Amino acid sequence: MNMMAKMKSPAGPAIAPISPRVELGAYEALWLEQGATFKTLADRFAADPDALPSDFVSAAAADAAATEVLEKLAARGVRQFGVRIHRAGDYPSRLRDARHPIELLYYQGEWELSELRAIAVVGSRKPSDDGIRRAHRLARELVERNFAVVSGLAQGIDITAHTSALKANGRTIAVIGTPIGSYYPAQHRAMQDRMAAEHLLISQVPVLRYDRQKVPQNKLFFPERNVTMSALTEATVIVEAGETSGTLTQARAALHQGRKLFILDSCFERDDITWPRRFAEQGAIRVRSTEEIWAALG
Amino acid sequence: MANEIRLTKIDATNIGEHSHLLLSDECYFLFEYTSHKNYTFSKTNSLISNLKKKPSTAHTPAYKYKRQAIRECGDALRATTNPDWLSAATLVPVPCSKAADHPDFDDRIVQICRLLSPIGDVRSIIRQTASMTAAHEAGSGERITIEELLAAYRVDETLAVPAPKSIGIVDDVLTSGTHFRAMSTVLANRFPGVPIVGLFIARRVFPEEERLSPFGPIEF
Repeated sequence: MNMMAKMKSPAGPAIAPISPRVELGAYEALWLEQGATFKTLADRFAADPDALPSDFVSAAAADAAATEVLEKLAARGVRQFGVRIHRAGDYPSRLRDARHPIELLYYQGEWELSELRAIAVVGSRKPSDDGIRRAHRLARELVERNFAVVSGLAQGIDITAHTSALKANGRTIAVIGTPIGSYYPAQHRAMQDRMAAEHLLISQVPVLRYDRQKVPQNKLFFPERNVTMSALTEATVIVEAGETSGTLTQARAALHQGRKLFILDSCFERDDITWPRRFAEQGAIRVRSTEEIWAALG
Repeated sequence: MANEIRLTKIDATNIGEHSHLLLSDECYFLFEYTSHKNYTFSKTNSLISNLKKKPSTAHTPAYKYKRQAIRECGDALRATTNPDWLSAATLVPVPCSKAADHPDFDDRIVQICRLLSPIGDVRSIIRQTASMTAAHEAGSGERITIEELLAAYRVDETLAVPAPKSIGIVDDVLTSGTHFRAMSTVLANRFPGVPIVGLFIARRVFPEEERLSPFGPIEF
């Protein structure tokens, strides 16, 4: 605890206490600044390691942003949500392994699920039938071994992983690329609501910034959530992905964060993509059977 | 568990789960846990369940986990509480729901207070005159009310002097806020104008399914 943090609460009972409302508003206000990205924000916090979002914005700006967020979420039917804030209890310290660690995230559902051993199952939005079968089987076997199945609620492999985990009566966590209370793709709305109600839904996407910018800019939030998904989990399994897939962001993040990266053997047998061999050279594990995954996970 | 973390304040975003608290109440907590879920893997659930092991089981080997949990909670609160405030404050533990002659009378909160403030002022100013069902043992619908607690709480006048300059009410879990409100009311009446705050290890949150859900089960 630095002197600045102590000076913030010279007489109060708590050392530099955290008000979720203030920090939520400050995080949102920071994101409204021109040019804000996960990188620029992470750089500011890296330069001032004891800082909270509220150290960088005025109390009035944080308050205005918090009020607007709470109104918007309520209007969108988000009746219950929580935030996890760096330095407050229950913030997962493994998120700090990300290159640009996030200071705050929103969640809906049961936070305790984040404490389960968790494996991400990700891949193409337009997978082959075999890819869907593989994702389904993988999710089922993960559930049988008491892992939480984590994915991004996108079309294709993601939704298959979540759905198969639910069918197997397992636990599943979605890390989404939209703010809570916003849905993409729209046809996954019921599933997102179910995840929020019965499992765990996580979003690092700022509500106000997302609302104020256009679709092309907001698309950048999708690969960014893959970095957080990797940091939250013990390992990532890529079922199937094209050469330019957003999934590859997660592959790079997993290797950078020291997480295990599993690539299904079928990816190596395709001659239209080069990434499987590239990542294998960097430490990814080529798996021919799920047994190899369990053996590597220990 | 509490490495480098800070206390979180109850504010407008999280007070909804503590229906008896007022927005003017100043309450802090470290962790959260979901009620009515037996997540044995959850760190906070296991901490709290160890903490609440009944004194009548003190002869069992598992009771050592209670002692560990008490130490962990005391250390975590001490690491996050302002020493200047502590040196001038009086810590008042929420009394055990069982009277002192009951086999399950539990002074865990007193022990946590002493760890939080080893040389400070820890005073059990509020006494409970009768045993009651502990909040965590009661089924829904039989929860104790503030009025029942106000009727059961007494100021122990032998401990009321000198009057505190500042009061920290300490408890392990913040549930609806009933005990904090009742304690706060009695202490404010006895010591008018003395600032009162609440310090908790954890606050409980509700699982979503306990709220009214607009959608039924989804078939795939």
